[in-house]
Amino acid sequence: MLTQTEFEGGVFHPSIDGGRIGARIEIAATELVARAIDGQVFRLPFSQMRLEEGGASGRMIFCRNPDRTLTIFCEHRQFLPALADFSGGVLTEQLERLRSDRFANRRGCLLSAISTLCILTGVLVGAYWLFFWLVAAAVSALPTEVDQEIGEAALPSVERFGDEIDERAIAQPAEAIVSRLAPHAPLQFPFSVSVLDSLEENALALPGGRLFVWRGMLEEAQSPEELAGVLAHEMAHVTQRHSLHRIGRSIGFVVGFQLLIGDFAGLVALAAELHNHTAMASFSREQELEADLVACDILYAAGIDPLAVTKLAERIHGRQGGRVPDWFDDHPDFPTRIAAIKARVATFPPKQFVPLTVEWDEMKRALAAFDARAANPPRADAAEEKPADEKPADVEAPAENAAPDATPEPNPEAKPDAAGDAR
Amino acid sequence: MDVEIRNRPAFTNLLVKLNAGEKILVEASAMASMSSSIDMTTRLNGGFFGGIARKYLGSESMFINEFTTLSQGELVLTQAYPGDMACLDLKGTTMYLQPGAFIACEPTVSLSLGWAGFSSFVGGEGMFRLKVSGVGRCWFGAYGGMFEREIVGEYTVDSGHLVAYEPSIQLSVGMSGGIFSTMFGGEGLVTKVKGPGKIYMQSRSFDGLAAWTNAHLW
Repeated sequence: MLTQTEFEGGVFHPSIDGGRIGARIEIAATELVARAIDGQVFRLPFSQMRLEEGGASGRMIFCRNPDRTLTIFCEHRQFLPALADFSGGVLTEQLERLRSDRFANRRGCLLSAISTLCILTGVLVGAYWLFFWLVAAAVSALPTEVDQEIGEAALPSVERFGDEIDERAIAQPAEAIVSRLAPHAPLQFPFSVSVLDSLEENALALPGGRLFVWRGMLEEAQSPEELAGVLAHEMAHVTQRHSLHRIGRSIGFVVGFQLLIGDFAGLVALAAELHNHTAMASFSREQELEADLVACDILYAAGIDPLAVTKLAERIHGRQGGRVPDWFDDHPDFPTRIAAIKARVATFPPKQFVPLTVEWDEMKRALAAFDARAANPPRADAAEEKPADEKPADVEAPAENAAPDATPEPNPEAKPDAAGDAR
Repeated sequence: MDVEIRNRPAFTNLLVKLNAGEKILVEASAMASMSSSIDMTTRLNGGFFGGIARKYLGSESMFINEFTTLSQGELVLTQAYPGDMACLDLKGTTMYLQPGAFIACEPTVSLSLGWAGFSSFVGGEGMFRLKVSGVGRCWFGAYGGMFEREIVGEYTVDSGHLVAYEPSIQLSVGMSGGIFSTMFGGEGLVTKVKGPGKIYMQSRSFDGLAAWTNAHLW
């Protein structure tokens, strides 16, 4: 039960100069009494009172007479409960209506706020997706020279995986396979392939057509067709421009806007930066699946068995105790990718595949020799056995700079490479 | 204290004649000239935090100037933009002023800053408003001509044209017409006011001036 019966408020009435005045409102036994600050008193019996709610705060209570000439208003939070307590039940019906209106109003406000929030969120998300859809469309429309420019800019990022092996016998099969596959690529690029000195079973493609295959992958492949599957997959990443699309998704608003107005210098710089700081070889789940399927198309068109690559992957998978091969290591689970490849190949009409004529056995022999050299590098003191005119500079240098009576001595910690033994 | 509103409506200014001991509170920078017999003191309006709130939320000055005299004198008050001014005679009532509208008031009038609500914000009338209440006179200005209207039912005011309104006025945001009219009719969202109560409106809006100026810059 409330005890407060007096509140600050005001009165609207034609008799007041200006039409309104501040007043102290008292809830009496049968009426509302408003004592204006100029001394006027206004009375409004509960039986004649019409209640309304509104005002800037939405909580102002207007008490009006039937002809609406007198309005006593109050914004105090306790005014309405006090009216309910002290009006003797005369206003019960109107108070119930006000409460119900207030509840409905609050519910409406809440729904409006939620709707507005949802619409705003939708508009923002829509604008965000529209922007990046436009960026993706712009990326797709870029000339292939941009891919090559990005590939050149990102080339230094490949160096961290290993040195390039410059032995024709090792590189020949991969080069021959790429030459056979290239005419069947859905988008033409100047494809080339290099072998990197790393024992991982992996491969990589840079935008623009530069392919890299790890020495470990060459050693693992048991047939040219298996290697062709790997290379076709990497070529598919190039032809589908996956790096560009991935960069397009990583792009900021500034670079995106630059791209939309035809300035792709920012895109090239960003691509090189991403290649240097992240593993751009890891594509999205959809891109990997797409590369698998496009690789099947390329292989089939080139007359090479597309299923050979599944044998390679399954062999590595089995040998590694279920661990997904590095080259196959991405979001789509291994069985899904294998199943997708087999399903794709099943849609092709039967065809007589043409064997790849590459110097496969010679490559394997060269790899074995390379492995042997890598496992048993020549000793540093082997340099001493060479004729004096073939001695490396770092051994001879002290002699050149030393005093005439100084005795030159070989460096016992000289590395094999420094001793002039190219691996 | 005698106050005359002069040179209406474009270049309105207030000529305030103070007698000994009388005082007027004036928005900082509103004084254009004054007699040498008038003393001016400056104080934070509503304390430190109140002053900061008034400046950054109410677009008013952090400080308020108090003018008084021991003999008699006059001062002239203006506003920064061309437009009319009006006098409110508060009798224990309250009026909400849009940010920047306040010019001066008698010391018996109290000033405070209040939250105007999201409807006011979305309708382009600002998130905060200056609340003047008590007993006494208060002067405020508008951009362009100023006119008042006693609202009984509902009334529509375009964004940026509402200068002042009583607490008994309910504000809501609405579309000026259908979706097409709202988007392409140039009116956009409008403020719908519902009485009872009085509102003051201005014939020009700053947004309109800014848009017009911007369109002629290029």
